[in-house]
Amino acid sequence: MMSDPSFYILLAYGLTTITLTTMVAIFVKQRRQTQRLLEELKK
Amino acid sequence: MIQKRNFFTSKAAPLVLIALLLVGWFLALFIISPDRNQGEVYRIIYLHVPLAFAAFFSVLLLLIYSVRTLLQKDISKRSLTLIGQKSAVEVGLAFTLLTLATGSIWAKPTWNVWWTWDARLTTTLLLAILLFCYLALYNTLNHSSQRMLPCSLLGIVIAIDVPVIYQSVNWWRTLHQPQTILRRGGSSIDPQMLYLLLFNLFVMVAIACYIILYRKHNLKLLDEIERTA
Repeated sequence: MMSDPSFYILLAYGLTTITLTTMVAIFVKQRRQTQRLLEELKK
Repeated sequence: MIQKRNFFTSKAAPLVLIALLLVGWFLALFIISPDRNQGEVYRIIYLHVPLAFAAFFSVLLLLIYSVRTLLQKDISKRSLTLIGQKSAVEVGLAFTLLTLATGSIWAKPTWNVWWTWDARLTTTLLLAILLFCYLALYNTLNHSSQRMLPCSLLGIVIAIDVPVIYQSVNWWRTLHQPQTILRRGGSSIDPQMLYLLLFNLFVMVAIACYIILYRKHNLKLLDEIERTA
C-alpha cells in the first residue's frame, strides 16, 4: 500500500478536504450562534 | 452591521469557489498527464503549491492589517484591523499546517522520508510556530487596546518569514526542488501543467480570502456584542 502513489494522493487530498471542511463548519456554526445572540439582544 | 457588497460577500461565492475547486482537482487527478520523472504522485503539486500560496496570501493580509493598525489613529477602526489580523492568522495557520502535511506526504514517496530539517521545511514550520504564538499572544491579552501594539509588531515579524521561505531554496543547499514558477529565465514547468497549477493556485487563494472575510465578519459581530453588553 505504501508503494502505491494513489495512497499518497488520496491521503493528501483527503486530509485537505477534511481539514478545510471542518474549519468552515466551525466558522459557520459560530456565525449562526453569533447571529442568534444578536437577535436575542435586539429583543 | 452592513457588510460591503462584493463577490466574496455574495451568497453565490461559496458555491462558485467549491465548483471551481472541484473542477481544478478533477483536472489534476484524472485529466492531466503524469510527470515523466515522478509519475502519478506529482499530482500532489496541484494541492501543495496552492495551499502554500494561500498561506502566504494570509500572511500578506496579516501584514497589511498590522501596518494599518499601527498607522490608524481612530480607535474603533484600529480594533477592526486587529480583528482582520486575527482572522488572517487563524486561516493562515490552517493553510500553513496543510502545506506542511501535504509536503510531508509528497516527501515520503519522492525523498523516502516524511520529514527532514531542510531549509524550506524548517522555515515553513517556523511560520506555523509564529502564527501559533500570535494566537497565544492575542488570547493572553484581554483588551484590544493591550493587543494592538504587540500583536501588530508580531504580525510584521511573521511576514518577514515569507520571503525567507520563498528564497530558502536559493540561499541554502536544500533537498526541496528549486523555484519552478516565478524564476529568472521563465517557468521551467510544462505550459499545460503550469496553467492548471495557476488555476488551482488562484482558486485556493480565493478560498482563503473568502474564509478570512467570513471569519472577520463574525469576529466583528462578536466585538459589537461585547461592546453593547
